[in-house]
Amino acid sequence: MKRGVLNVCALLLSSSAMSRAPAQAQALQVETLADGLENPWGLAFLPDGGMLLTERAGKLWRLDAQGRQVAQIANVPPAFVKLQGGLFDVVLDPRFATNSLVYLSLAHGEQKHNTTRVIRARLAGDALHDSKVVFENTPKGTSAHYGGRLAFLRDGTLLITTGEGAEYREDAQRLKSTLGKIVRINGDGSIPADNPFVGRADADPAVWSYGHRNPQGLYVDPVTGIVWSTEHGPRGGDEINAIVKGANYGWPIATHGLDYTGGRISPFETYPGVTEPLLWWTPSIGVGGVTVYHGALFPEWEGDLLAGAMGHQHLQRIEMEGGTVVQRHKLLEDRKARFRQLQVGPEGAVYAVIDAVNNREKSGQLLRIIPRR
Amino acid sequence: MILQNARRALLAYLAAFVACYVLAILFATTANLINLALVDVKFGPGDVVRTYLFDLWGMTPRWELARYGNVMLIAFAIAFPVAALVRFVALRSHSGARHLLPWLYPLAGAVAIGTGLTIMFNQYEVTAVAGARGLGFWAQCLAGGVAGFVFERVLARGGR
Repeated sequence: MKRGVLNVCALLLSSSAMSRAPAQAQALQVETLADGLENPWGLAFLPDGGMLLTERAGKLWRLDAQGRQVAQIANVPPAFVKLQGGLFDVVLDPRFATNSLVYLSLAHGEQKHNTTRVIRARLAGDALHDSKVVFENTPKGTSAHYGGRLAFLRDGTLLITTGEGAEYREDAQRLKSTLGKIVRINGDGSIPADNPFVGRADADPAVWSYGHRNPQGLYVDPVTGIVWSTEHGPRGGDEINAIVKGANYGWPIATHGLDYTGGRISPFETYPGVTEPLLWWTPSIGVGGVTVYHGALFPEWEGDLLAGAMGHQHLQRIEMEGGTVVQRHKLLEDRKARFRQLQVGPEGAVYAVIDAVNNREKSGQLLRIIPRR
Repeated sequence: MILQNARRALLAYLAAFVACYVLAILFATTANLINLALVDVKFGPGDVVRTYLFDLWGMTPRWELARYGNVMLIAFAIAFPVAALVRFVALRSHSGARHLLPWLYPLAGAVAIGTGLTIMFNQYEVTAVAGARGLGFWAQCLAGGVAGFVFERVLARGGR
């Protein structure tokens, strides 16, 4: 029923609902905690107030609470760094305080045979130990569309987004392949028995949802339990989806986007059995990460979605009311920053991982956004 | 005389483009629909016709470089003059290369389309024309070859 409400909302949403919200933009104070970063990608908060930050070029940094890079973490497995490939996300095990386990996603392999890989390792001091591969995606021969976002469900299982490798778009509909999926595994890499396609000969048991193109955002709302994912469309059709176990999100059989050269991807924008996105963007904003705001610093944002825009270079607040979108606000457009990932810090500030500013090399930043005093 | 030749060349160029464009889009859309059918997508005749018509309009040349029609125009604008130059040299030589002259423009057209698609792919490792993946690539080259044939025929007709 809730999905129905969300779908109606998507249909009703129009461009008139978009606000540039100058008042909100003026009310924000932005602190640059770190800059000069090389395509930073993932961020995780440590219990001691520090953070772990990945750079796509293959580096994992420990930052202190002020965002200073205090150490580069050693023993990070080498990533296949090319085009969209490299080191992606980092998350802490839900029991990190007692087991010190972290999970990293990265591109692994070589040009003709590479994959999205997830490793688990123990963080001791400033080094990783006891690395173990817990997931490896179906291999592909392109350096594009890896997915690579990680998030733990409330039951302690791990969700992983995978891209469809661009050239293999139809594989997003083939359950035997893990390209173009969100997969769910246990922390040790085993498959949960209650995954939706367990026991089916025509399906990989790790598949949790399918029909994804290149999901770049993944967030499990700790309050509602809703799993949110953002994914890149082609020319148009960037999406936010509420992920439901076993659901088909349509790529490439139903999409609001077109091929880059102007042709149709499919005859259909909707299709029976395909779950519609909560909302989509045409033209594409180059959607980055997604989070839901729960915190003390922005009480008026409580329960709203925050999504990064890399192509259109802004932070988008998607105002929610009763599970429906009521308005969208473009924030921080003046920074010309590619908003790759968003996290709400323990104190309620919004932390934004900026891929690059003005599309300059090694201009990535970590921003802390708080209300202007 | 020069103006007449230029007009003839322009007419041949446009005719080649139209031939290639229509054929290439028909090939690409067909390949795309086949790929969808292989993952059990069901569509009726109306869906198919709508998709062909949309694609025929959607990839026409515009003020956006990535449009497939633009790529064809640029590719032929380079390939056919180069082929004409090769032809000019070959006609004045006494080598066996003269026997290859009837294939020159079709070859230039095929190479032009193949090169355009390859350049687009290499930029982002995404085949911009989805129907040009796998065997579809060679179908697109065939459309380029037909364009070369049309180019030569129109030029030759004007020369009579």
